[in-house]
Amino acid sequence: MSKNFDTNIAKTLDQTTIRNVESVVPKKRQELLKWYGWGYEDSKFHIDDYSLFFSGSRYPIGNDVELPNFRDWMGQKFELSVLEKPKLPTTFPEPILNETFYNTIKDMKMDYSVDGEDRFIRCHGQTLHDIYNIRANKFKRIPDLILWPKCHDDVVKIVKLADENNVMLIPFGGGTSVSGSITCPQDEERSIVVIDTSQMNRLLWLDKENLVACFESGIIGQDLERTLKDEGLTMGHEPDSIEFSTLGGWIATRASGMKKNVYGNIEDIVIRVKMVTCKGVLERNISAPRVSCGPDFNQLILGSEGTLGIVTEVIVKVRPLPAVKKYGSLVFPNFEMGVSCLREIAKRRCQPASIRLMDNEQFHFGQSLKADNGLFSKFIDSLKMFLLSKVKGYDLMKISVATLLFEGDKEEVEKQEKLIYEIADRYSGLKAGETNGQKGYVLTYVIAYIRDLGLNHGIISESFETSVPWDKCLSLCINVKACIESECKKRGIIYYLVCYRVTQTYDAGACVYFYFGFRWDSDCSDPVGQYEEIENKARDEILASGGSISHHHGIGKIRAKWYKQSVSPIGVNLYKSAKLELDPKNIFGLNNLLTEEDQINFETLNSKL
Amino acid sequence: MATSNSKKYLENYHNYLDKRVTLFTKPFDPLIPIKRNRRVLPEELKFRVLKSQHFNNYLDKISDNKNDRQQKETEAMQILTEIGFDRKILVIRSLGTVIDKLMAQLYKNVFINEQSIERLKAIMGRQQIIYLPSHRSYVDFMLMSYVCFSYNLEIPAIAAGMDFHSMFGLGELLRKTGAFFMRRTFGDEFYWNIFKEYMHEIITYNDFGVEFFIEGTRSRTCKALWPKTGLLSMALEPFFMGEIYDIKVVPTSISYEKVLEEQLFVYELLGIPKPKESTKGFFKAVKNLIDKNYGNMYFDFCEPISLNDFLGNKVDRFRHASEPAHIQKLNNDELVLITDFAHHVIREQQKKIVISTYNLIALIYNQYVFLNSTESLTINVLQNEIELYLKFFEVLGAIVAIDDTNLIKSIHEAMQIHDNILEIVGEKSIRLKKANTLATRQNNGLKLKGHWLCKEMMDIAVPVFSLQLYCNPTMFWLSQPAIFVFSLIGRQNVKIEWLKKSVMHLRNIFIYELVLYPRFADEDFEKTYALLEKLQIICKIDDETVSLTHSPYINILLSAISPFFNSYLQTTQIIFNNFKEKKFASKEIFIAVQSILEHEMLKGNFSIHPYALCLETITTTLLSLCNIGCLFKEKQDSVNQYSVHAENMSSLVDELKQYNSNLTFVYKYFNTLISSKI
Repeated sequence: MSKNFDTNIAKTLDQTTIRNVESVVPKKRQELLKWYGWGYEDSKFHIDDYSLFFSGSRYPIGNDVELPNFRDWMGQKFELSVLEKPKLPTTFPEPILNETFYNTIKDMKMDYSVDGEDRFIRCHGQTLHDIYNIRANKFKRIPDLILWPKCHDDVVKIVKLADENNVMLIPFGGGTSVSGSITCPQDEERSIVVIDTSQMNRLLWLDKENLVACFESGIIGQDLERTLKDEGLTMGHEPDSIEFSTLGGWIATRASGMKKNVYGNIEDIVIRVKMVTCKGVLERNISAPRVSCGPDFNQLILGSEGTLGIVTEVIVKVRPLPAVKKYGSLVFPNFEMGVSCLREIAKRRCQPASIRLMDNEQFHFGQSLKADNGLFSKFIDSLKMFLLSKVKGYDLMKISVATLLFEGDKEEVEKQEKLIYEIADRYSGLKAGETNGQKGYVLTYVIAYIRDLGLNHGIISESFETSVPWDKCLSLCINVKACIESECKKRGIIYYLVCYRVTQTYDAGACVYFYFGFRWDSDCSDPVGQYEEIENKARDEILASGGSISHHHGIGKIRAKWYKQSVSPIGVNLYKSAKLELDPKNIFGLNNLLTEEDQINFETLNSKL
Repeated sequence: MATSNSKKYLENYHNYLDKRVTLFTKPFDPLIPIKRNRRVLPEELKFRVLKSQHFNNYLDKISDNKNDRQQKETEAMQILTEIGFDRKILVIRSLGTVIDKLMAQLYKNVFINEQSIERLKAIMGRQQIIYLPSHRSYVDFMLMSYVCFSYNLEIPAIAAGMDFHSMFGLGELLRKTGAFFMRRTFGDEFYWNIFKEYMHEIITYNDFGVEFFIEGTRSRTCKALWPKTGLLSMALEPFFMGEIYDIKVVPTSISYEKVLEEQLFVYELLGIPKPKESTKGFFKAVKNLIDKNYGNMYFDFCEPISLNDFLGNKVDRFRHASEPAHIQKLNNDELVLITDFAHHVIREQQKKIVISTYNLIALIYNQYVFLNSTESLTINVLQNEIELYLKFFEVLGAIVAIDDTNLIKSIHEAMQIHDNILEIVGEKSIRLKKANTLATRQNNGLKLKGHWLCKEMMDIAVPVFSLQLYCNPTMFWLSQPAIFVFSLIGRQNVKIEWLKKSVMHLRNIFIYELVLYPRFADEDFEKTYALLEKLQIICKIDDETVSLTHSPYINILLSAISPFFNSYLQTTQIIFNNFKEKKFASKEIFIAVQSILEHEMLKGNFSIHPYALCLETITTTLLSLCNIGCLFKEKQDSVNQYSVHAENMSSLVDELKQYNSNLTFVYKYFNTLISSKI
């Protein structure tokens, strides 16, 4: 067995090629990041008296500029009220420690912590459920021990030791999971050890000839891109969580980036990946661009959601930095026309790096986030609106807006732009300028902060996504919205918002994102439960309308109930066989993907052994 | 107050005639069932059909070459022109104005449940709507559009039969108010592919809502008909395929105190074919009608049913979701669910059919005939009986529109509206008016469905049938309790187990006649059992045994069902006695039953109810007999040929006779019988 743990083919890396990366996020995460919500501690929406601001200087809408439009919009949609700000708990559950494991770790001089706060902030991801529970301090079970391995070999040691001592392991990257996948299992009796990969974030080597780079899995998106940028390169993988999520996490969830049209999704970017399992290291020892070599086990690692092992090192494709990056936007008379246009663009395979289409609700929502920049800008805006509605005859309550991002050299971008605007013209799409496009993309990062603002004011909101064939794209959007509205109505929810956007396009279909929020009734004792009921109904409707279980968020625990119907019972068995082969003691015991009924009964299994 | 629930419910109704506005100029900015990005022009639907993948795949399959394909496409366009509805507001206004005048002429009151309209308005804009009205009269066609137009609801697209289409002028006129036309042909694959796709577009793309008659045709008997599911499954398919989230289905109940077509129906049921609709005939008919008073009519949108709520847990839409909708079909389980749903709709309609004074008078008169005591039926006796019936229907849950503060007046008004059927003679006693059917003998050359009934028979049959048409609408409430009572009559201490068996058996026999859907049977049994116990019609002896009480309601129930029972008995006996050895078509049965029964009745045999001459009842008898294995059916040269299963049939006849022996009814409507011709 120990043989499998040695990297199969011994390599001696030239240590000087290794580059340490100074991460934006410190080891003590809570010094920079919020413990009770999304993102940076200094960046948040806040309300003073009657004015609404966004603090911090990290985002263009920040610097405490008043956002009166947004306040009005929130007021209109939800009728705000103010709840108390949560307080970080001071006492934490006692750690359950496995003596042998704990002592050996100490002997190894591995970085570790049993500090309550360190453990507390790593017991969850970013689902609404997680955030609500953390604010209400409802977690009974939090990790018992946090470890910070520094390299692949450290991980090998930890996994071996855990397997020998029957300790449960949770791989932890950026903690941005929105599927419940890294949420601490509340009924786990073994010692729970979090492997925080944040100190494993080096660029091990770079090959500019072949344009490939080898990173450690704990590197977070913005660090990775910054490091590559210094070399005039980019990987081009930009999920909305890029500021915090890690390379390893992307692989474990099958992430997708905004610019996948140029750079591909994570599965297209990854060439080789090393995963440490309880049985040894799984790795495809081929760096060639493509192989016919039986079933591709990279595909088993991608989307394994921390249940089969832990990813340590990854070889990825990189690209030269584009010379030009240009935004753009289009206005369509309605969402339907926009979808038809996107479909045509996809058909001709001429998508720019990113193309997204917002429905009318989201358009208004985005508009409201504009800062009040004085009279002049308002005048320009209203002039534009006048042109659109009175001269062109577009109904502002029906229009739909697409945002575009072009990347490439100058000529290429110009050519692309021309073609896109030509196609758009056939679908009554009007050019609406660069600024609107850029603002649209800023909104992407800021939108995640809004949930926290809402939670402070009795509003629950969350996003969820799917992928769907083109012919069912429009009907799916309409059906899901109708479904949510009807479910709200049944529950007597008056203030709510449902909006959607198409965020990715493919040959055969698109990725659709939904935002849903509602103000909960003060009588409602379990708003999160209510939210989840409605989201479940919406997911049922997504599946009935031809959509998928998930485009890139993954299954985790909150979507496990639809896993079997998505992959067939044989598919579930196949996954279970892999699990039993790689992890017969359920060391990586996050129990993702499978429903409770489908879980392998490890206890009876191990007692037989 | 005996009628409190009915009264309360009827308070929501308002007479539209009191608040008419000028339809020609009134503003029309209707609420639409489903808000889409933009309003769709009716013409677009046709082009979408021609462009649809489903239709194009089909064209590819059936075309020999390019030319052939082009020709077929032209053909398809012609068919679409024949089908497609249109929308011309000016035509709607004009026709609306005419109908408005007509309504005021024909009816004393046009009662509309305005609360139900408000309820409907509240759901507008969220989802596609299918209106499923009951169908008792051609007036239904106009009425829905008229009500929608008047109350600012979008006028739905209305499925109409081709008989309307062929009426010169009128067909095109109706088309412009939203009618689309459906052929009554079967097996024409090309046509139905186009029609189905057109329906698909109406549901998924248009925003008007759609209306059709789930019973498929006007019910000539004024009872509910077994629902047709063809059009309904086409309309609901997009829901099963995950193309839409929900459809709201609005059963609609339209009740008439007197149906315009009353006499036409009577003749049709007796086998005299109705004249083909022609525009000239139509206007002539209208002219004839105008001078008469047709009393009240009632219009009610039942509570909208969300398909998603109704089917939600029973259907797995996911199984259709992973493939394109156009390559898939509904499976059998889903078709069964649609049939369940159709029957649910029929029942919802029936619950809101308003029962009027004359319905009760007809029931009471029949009861007195059967008990051979019509002489004692004076207005005062009638009044007492009506009070009893009112109590009964109140408990059953029916909506009865009778002013019980002045029953005598109500009776007189009702008698006057229907003065062609019953008359008041001498000391305020009531009797059936014999018809004088001489005029109809001129209908030479018309193809008969059954036997040519002689004038003497017709003179008796016409009034009896007319009367029966007013008993029939109450059968929705009476048939199930009646079957219970029928099982128990003449028996003591009956085991519940046996009772259930008997009820289920009788349900199977009357399955089509009384629309007794087998998949509701268990639930129905429990409910009816509880109801009869509550009404003290049955009483429990012990945990397993029940008996009939001496409730006055027992005779009401028995006399209500006996015309049907008697008809079934007669037909079954005649088939058994005359057709054991040979194959036969339904027409042979029509002729045999009608001629044999005519002969018997004119001889003075009062054990035969004249309603046994009813061709529609004979038809349902044949269907039932096939259903329970007494007859075999096979198709020969596209005509159904039947043959008898002697053993099953023999035991059925014995059984029916056994049941019949517990009834002591006579069917003596007229004293004087002319037997000279026989």
